[in-house]
Amino acid sequence: MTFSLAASLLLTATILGAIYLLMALGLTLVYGVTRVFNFAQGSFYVWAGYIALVLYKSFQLDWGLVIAITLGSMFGIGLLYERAIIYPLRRFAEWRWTAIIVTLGAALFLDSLATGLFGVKARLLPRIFEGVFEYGAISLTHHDLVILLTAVAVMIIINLFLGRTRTGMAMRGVAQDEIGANIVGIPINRMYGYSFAIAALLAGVSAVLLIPRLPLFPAMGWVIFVKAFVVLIFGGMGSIKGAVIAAFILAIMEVFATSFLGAVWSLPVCLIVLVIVLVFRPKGLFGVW
Amino acid sequence: MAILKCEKVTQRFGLLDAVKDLSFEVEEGEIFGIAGPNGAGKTTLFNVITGVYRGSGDIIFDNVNITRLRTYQICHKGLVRTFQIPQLFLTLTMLANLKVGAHFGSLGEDNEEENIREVLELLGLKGKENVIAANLNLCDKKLTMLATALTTKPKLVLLDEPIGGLSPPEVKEFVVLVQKINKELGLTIVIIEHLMKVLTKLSNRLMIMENGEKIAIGPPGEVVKNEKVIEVYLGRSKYA
Amino acid sequence: MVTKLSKKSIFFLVSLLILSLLPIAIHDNRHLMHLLILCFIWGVVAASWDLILGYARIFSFGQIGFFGLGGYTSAMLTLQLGVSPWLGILAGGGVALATGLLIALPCLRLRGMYVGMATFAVHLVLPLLARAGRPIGTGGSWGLHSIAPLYVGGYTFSSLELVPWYYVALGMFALFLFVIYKVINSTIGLAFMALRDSEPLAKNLGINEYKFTLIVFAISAFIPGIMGAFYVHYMGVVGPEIFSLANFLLAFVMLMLGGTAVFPGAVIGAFPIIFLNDALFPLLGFRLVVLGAIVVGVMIGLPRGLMEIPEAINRLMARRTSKKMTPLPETNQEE
Repeated sequence: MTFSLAASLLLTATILGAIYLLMALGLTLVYGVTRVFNFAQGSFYVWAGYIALVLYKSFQLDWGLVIAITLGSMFGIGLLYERAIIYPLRRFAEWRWTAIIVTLGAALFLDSLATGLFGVKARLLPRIFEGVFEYGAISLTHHDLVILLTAVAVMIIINLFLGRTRTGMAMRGVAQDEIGANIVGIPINRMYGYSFAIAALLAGVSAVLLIPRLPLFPAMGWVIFVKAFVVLIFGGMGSIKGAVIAAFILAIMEVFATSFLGAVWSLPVCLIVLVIVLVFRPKGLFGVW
Repeated sequence: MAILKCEKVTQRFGLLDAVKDLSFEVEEGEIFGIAGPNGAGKTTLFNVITGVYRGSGDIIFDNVNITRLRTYQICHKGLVRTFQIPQLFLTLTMLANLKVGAHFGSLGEDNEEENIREVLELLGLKGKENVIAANLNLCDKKLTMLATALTTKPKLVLLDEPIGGLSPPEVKEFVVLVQKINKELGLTIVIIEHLMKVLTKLSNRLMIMENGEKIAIGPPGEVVKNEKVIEVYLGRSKYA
Repeated sequence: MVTKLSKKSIFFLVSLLILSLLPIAIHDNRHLMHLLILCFIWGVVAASWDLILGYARIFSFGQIGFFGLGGYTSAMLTLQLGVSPWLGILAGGGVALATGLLIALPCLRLRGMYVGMATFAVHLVLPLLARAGRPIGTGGSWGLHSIAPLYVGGYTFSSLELVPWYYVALGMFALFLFVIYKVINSTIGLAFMALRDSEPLAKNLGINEYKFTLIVFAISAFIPGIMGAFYVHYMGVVGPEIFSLANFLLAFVMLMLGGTAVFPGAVIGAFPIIFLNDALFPLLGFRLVVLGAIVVGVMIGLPRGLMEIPEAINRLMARRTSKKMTPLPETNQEE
């Protein structure tokens, strides 16, 4: 194992980890605030990818504009999703159970729609910046650098949002005690909407960043979703720190496994980690829930 | 003889000792009261005894060490509890609720139907068997919960704050009921309560807990005069 | 309650009678016969899923996994070892059951969604294993074909004559529905429902939560395993697509449409969905979109599924006879 090989693998792992972290963030944000496990998170990713694809290929828009529109649309889709699917359920007593079923149904619906409209062929999106940094034996594409920087930026922004803004703190309030939050006048419905919207947005960011690297096809959403889930479980539900560490450990394991054992091991590695965690330490590394 | 012995029971949650080195005994056939300020560890104690939490120390029931047993096994040994917030099988009828206890709890020794009928009569629930549990009022819910415990043919029943939310006449009825169960069925009863009037009336002996430790134990008359108890829990006003 | 059960039983028996006499009239219509056979197979699969998802409220999403596992097992055994298809089917059920228990063990100490994800992950990994499993005879991405049809005595079933297939399928349908019905109304069913409604109370009353969770996993894995094996012998081929999300969605929408935790909800859902699925074939990929939309729509609009309709009628009838002005059945107080 040469140094340059190890270094490039680690680099890839870091980038992959960053993406998984973003997706995991989306999942945990929704779960934290609404206590609903959104099965459609992967479908958000896939749809963001296809929206960007259509805008770029069919409408021939400038890539920067495409990103802007895609992200904006994803935010809107998140809001719409919550309003159309989650909100009507809340009038039932046992809605959280039904909600899980519904998000699964919605995910399958969105997947099938994507398959129907776009086919199963894998597509690639263009990179944000072309060009490569060469640093001795290590090369890092501009795009990969953007991924890393974006991921870090998003983490910081989300942290600031949750910690410093009124809306962010309101969301944390709902996550901790929904009834209490309601009593002090926090608009629960709006918070629910925002959490789904942000999750969809994060999926959009992940898609725009990752799809130039990893081809898009409708079933891809599930792969991403499972990995995001494993990151959450491994890191421990409710712990951002855990998610960060778990994302990178998982990414490292996956990158090394696929390098030496073959690409087909990408998902199984995740699942092995999942099984081990569930059997020996279901709470994960730093789990709160 | 002591039907329940807790020896140096400790239950820790992170850095908090909910129950600290607690030792006490309950005599067979008595009504043993437990009281104390909120957060004293009373419900936690019940949870440890019934196997919900695994604490350290020993819990000996009917001469059998039940510390390592699982909840359902403890039920089969003859120890059941009721819950502070009424737990019931809300989608099932009252009858079905009782059937669970009768079938799974009493190891099917007796005729289940007879068992259920007797318990229904004892608690005055006859005629409501076919009501879906979700539709019962609070008092009936609590009675049904108690009934399910009784259908398991237990030797000892742990009652966790059973009176909360009942009106004064209902409370009076409840006191009579507990005494009836104790006398007629020969059940040992351990009851957590806040209403001292009720507790002193019912209990043969009383234990006061604070911060996970026992600070007094003995006949009610003595315990309520204990200085520490007055300071920590009862207060000096005439409402104590 | 007693009269209601009898009503259901009567309905069930009459339906069975009609179904068993149907071939007399329709044996020429191969397509219709085929659809009905699918209804029988999928009806049972959906009903067994209801046991664990609806009655026990355990989020197990591995159902199709067991279905496919049973299919592959039987196919591989009959192709490689020349085992009789009947034995193969039994083995398929057995392997599914064993796998179900294996999965259940780590799930015992897990709550809600964790079990859901774990079982869903199993569902996702099985097609990968099937594709990679050429060395052990899974046929890789192409799957297996020329799988031996069933035979009874000297007669070998053929794909040309569907009547014998129909009757075997109907027999299994009746048998397994009966078994599921019995389980639901037995003390085992009572245990699941108790654990579902209040686990602390159930444990307190003597129910061994691990034992019953294992039992429900076992039953709800065995049955689809058997049906999967039968399906594979009927179709003569099996491939990784048996684990597809399309199949998952099929069973899922049947269950949701028919109604969870109401017997025979899932079965009632199966028939319309199979026919709808067939009718929508020209739509190709969009067929699944419709099914997905139905799931979402049903859960929002009619969460207790189609079974809500006869139940609602029953309630209205009861209210009518009591001559009071009562509001419509509330949906807020349910389970």
